[in-house]
Amino acid sequence: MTTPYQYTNSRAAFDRALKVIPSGIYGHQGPTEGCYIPQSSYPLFSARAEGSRFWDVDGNEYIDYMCGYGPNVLGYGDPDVEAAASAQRALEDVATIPSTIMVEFAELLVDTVASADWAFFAKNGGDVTTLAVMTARAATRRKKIVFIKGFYHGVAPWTQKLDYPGVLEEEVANNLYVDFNNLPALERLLSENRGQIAGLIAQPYMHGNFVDNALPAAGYWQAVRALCDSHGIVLIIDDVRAGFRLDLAGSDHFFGFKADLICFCKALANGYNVSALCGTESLKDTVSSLSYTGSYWMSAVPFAAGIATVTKLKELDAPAQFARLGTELTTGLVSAAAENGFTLITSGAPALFYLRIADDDSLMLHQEWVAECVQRGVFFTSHHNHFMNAALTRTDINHTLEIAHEAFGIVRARHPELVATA
Amino acid sequence: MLTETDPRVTAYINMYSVLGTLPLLAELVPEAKSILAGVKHPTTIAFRVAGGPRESLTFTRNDVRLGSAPGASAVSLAFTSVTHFNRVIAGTAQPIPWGLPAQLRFLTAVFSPLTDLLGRYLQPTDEFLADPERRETSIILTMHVAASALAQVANEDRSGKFSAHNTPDGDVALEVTGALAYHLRMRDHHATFVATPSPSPRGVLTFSSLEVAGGILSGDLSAVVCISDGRLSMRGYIAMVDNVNRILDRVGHYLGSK
Repeated sequence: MTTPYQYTNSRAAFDRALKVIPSGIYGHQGPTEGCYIPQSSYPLFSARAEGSRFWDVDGNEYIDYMCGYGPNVLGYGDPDVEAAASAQRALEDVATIPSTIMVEFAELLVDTVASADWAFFAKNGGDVTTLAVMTARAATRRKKIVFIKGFYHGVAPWTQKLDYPGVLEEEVANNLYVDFNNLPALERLLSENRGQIAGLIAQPYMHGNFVDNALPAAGYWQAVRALCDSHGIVLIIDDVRAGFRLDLAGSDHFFGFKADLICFCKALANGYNVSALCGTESLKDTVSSLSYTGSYWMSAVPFAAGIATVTKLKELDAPAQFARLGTELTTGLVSAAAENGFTLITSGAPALFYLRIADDDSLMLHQEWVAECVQRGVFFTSHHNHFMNAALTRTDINHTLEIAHEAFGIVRARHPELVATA
Repeated sequence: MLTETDPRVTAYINMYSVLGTLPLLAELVPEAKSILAGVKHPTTIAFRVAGGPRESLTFTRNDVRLGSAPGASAVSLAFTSVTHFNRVIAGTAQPIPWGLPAQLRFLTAVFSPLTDLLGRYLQPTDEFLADPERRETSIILTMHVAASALAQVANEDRSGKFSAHNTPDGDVALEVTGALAYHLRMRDHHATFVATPSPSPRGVLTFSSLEVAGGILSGDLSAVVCISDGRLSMRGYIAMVDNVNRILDRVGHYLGSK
């Protein structure tokens, strides 16, 4: 049996944070939105990261399946990416006019991403999903945007909902919602709003939180593409989460269709801060016409890191590696659960696997299991899809399965009242 | 986020959450029991709010209950609009009573003293709260009002209904460690407040103290801040708890001091 971690230094740092930072750690990397249940089972601050691991401020080591919520795609501190970034940093980063390395990065993306004829760079995923929606509206001179239920496209007001604090009704008044994989409902929605819809924005498959992730039904995306064409709607793929983990040519390419606009961020530069909107030639002039820029959007170091990242992902054929190891991991987790009488459901692509113990509908058992894993050095989350990275080894996977097995056993022993389901 | 509140929703909160807390007042506060001791015959007051709730409260020597009772004397209170009703509850207008003189006297002898007493607990002065027992009772009653307002907002308010539409079926437990446990039951996006523990909650919000519960439920404390610093914890189906938190936020628009 392993000894559960203690978080004395994390707690002390968090107490300091609460005094000077709203909610201590805001957003998805904090205990509230991060669903740290119970909070006492989770580290709150990290001290360093390398390869497939990070170490918290108490010195506890974790195999990290969240990868900074996606950016860590090659491994923390990948030497090739760091070398490229260092070389560029020695020359310049933020200057009055951009470095030509921006052009090189755009050329690489145009060569790599199947639907890309151009690339526009910013910083966060939300910067480029917002740009995509503005582009769709400018191109069509229409107001409405179709969203797939369970979506996440950032935190700009247009991406939120009527009942979110600080978001005005007017900011979400043109949002339409439809279920994923439901073509009749989509057809109906488009017909009811004919001539009014500027764009349809969707992740390449439904990787919403708290629910099993759903892959597209056969023919779904091809039918959506045809519907968008017949209604004059811009098809926007938000590939911020899945981009470069399923297919280096874009997740639209992976699922056999072509987006008009495609958004990238997380895995684009292995943790260096850059996002990109890529799109078709027909929308290039529209994007040019928009007033849209930012102080750090042309910083050169992330472009160098991005070039090194995409180049290395190609050399490794990383998506195939993610699929292979992700499948080994999720298959092993399902077996470990079954050996302890639990039914573990894995969903989504193996490169971005989502987990759920199906033995209760409240997810409390699942939260208990995840908490036990975290306290023993495997960083999972209870509500969000996970991420594979290229630094993960088969040894990491085997160690993860040992910890997971032990954690299932602890939860099983704690609940003698439960009937084994597997 | 809607920036305005809806007087119709306020009327439902006033009926079911504020006046709906009279039964608990009668149960917890000795002075309320003394007032009820003067009830000679069970009496039902029917509230008829034009464009708003239509509900009854029945008063006996022992308790107050929501709804009418066979054989009870009847008094009707009519309100020309939800705004009229809300002003009466705020103490700035008078209702239009309808009944026999003896039954109308019930209003001044029992109903008005009880609502005045409830008002002292729900809007207490610092002097009133100096007594620890009264303070605790005040918080319990405030929490009851706010927790039951969750259901009214979920069912009647436009923003609340949006949140409820996104909330799956199940019970969300509202617990105060060592003190009390209520729950909000969601069925087909309709909410019901139940003033007892849930046998099988799908989501749980646990408040560390009555003060924290009262503060969050009345909109004076941030749920997110309290989750961060540990005064509020959550577990279970968080997609459900998250939507209930959004309804909670909207309840604060109606009940909060801001």
